Amino acid sequence: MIFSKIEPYEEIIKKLDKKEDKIAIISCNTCARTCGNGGLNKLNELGLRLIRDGYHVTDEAVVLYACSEPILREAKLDLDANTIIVLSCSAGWSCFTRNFADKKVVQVTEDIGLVVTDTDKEIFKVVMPYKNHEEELGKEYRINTGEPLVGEKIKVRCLA
Amino acid sequence: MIISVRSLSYDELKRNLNHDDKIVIWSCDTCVKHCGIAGMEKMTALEDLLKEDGYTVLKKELVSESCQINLAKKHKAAHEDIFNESTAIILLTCEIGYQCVKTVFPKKKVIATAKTFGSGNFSNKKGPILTSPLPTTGLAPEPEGYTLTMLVEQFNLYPKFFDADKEPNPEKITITVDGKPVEVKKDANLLDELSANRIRIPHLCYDSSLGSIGACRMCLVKIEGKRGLVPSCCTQIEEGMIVTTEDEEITKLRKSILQMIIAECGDEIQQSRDIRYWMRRYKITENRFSLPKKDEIVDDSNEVLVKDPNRCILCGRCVRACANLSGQKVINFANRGSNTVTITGLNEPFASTDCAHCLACAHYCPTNAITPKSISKKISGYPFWTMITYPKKLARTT
Repeated sequence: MIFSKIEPYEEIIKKLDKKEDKIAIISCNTCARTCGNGGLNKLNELGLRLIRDGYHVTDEAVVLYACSEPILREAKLDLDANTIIVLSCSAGWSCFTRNFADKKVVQVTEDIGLVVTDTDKEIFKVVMPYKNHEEELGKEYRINTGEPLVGEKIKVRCLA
Repeated sequence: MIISVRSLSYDELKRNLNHDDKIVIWSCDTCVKHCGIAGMEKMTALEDLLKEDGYTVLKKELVSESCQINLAKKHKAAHEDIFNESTAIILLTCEIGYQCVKTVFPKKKVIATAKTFGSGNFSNKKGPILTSPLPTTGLAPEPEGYTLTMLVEQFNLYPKFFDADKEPNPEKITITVDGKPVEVKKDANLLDELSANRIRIPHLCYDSSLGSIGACRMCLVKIEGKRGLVPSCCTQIEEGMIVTTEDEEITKLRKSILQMIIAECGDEIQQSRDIRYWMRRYKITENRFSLPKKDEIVDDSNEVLVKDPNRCILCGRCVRACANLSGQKVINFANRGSNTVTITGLNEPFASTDCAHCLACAHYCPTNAITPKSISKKISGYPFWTMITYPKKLARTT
């Protein structure tokens, strides 16, 4: 699984234009949901906040994988928007930039690393960090919320 | 998806093995399968190669997601005797899967066969592409993506699976199918071998990754010397077999099964690609039987999956996928005979169970009775409930 962190709301709105942008929010329901940055909950949270602050949100969608073109094709997204916010890892963002070349695709997450998960304990652990996130190696987080945890709950013997 | 490429040649793999090793081949069924180096088919090819070279393969273990360490532990517990007997595990997984399996089997010889490069996409034109490389690769992020061919050339790796290094040459025999001689693998599954020879037999409950239970009866064929019709998914190939896959009786039977499925599940079942194909093939245009249509409650409580019992044909693929590939055993059969249904947990909502969201059930369901949740909605103005949540903003804009 891929662990990405969402930027603070204040950073996200800096990338948006209140007057011009008609916004679609697309949320990935796999890795991003597991890491607390995607799925229906995060979509609703961000959507409501943007609407409350006067942004023009036109479409909301949850897709199984944001990183798969066959899944995107199956989802038949018919977007009225000219701006897309993708709640997924950077691979999902890349997929949308290629497939919606006529729209502004806003990247609001940053990849942290590849993770091992334990769905019984509802924990995931970073085992292969991305550049500039080497200090995250071995850190554990709560599934669905991305809340950092203290102490080692999953033992992985051979960290990269 | 995580992008991985094979990093060992077949000769290098053999150098890591002793001739008296008892081997388990362990494969993930997700990202690495889409990279073309894992899955049941690849495990079978590797097993054939190893057996030809005199190695002992004890088991092929297919796991829905190898990066979930709890699933790896459950697979170990389910087949503890075989894993205790084994001396080597060959992994067809990414490096994350390797870390999980090595943690679960710390004293075993675990052989990784793939290098993981980072995350990427599955592109319709290029196949798997790497867009976000890990720092160890020295590559820069690239939204257009690096293809597997580019990675193979740059890092001197292997573009295809082990069977590209040395083609497996399992023992073949000849059987007769519909009056024609056909070369098949000895002792293999009849349905698998017919499919391999492009003889398409309808089947709904069988998948080579899940094994056979002979429930749907769609794959019935006639075999000379055997009484009645036999399910080809449960039949092992024997020397000199004479098989009839299609005649008037078989066609009539398959049509009746399809018509009964449609009568019970309604026209919506035709959204299933498999059912639609076989309906066209057997020219079924109308519903012959008038059965009361199922009216069960659709369970959409799960964050990722939707379970619609009205489309379920009780093929048991989800039950086997959840038990064998995931190891969670969340989905099961309940009741008996005509009252049989599939349930989640102890007949509780899907969300209350310990579903691992590995999607194995949805992936193998032939009728879309379990599907991944996909939501798409247009936002026009403010939904009613935002009036309660955000009255101030609403007052200002109206």
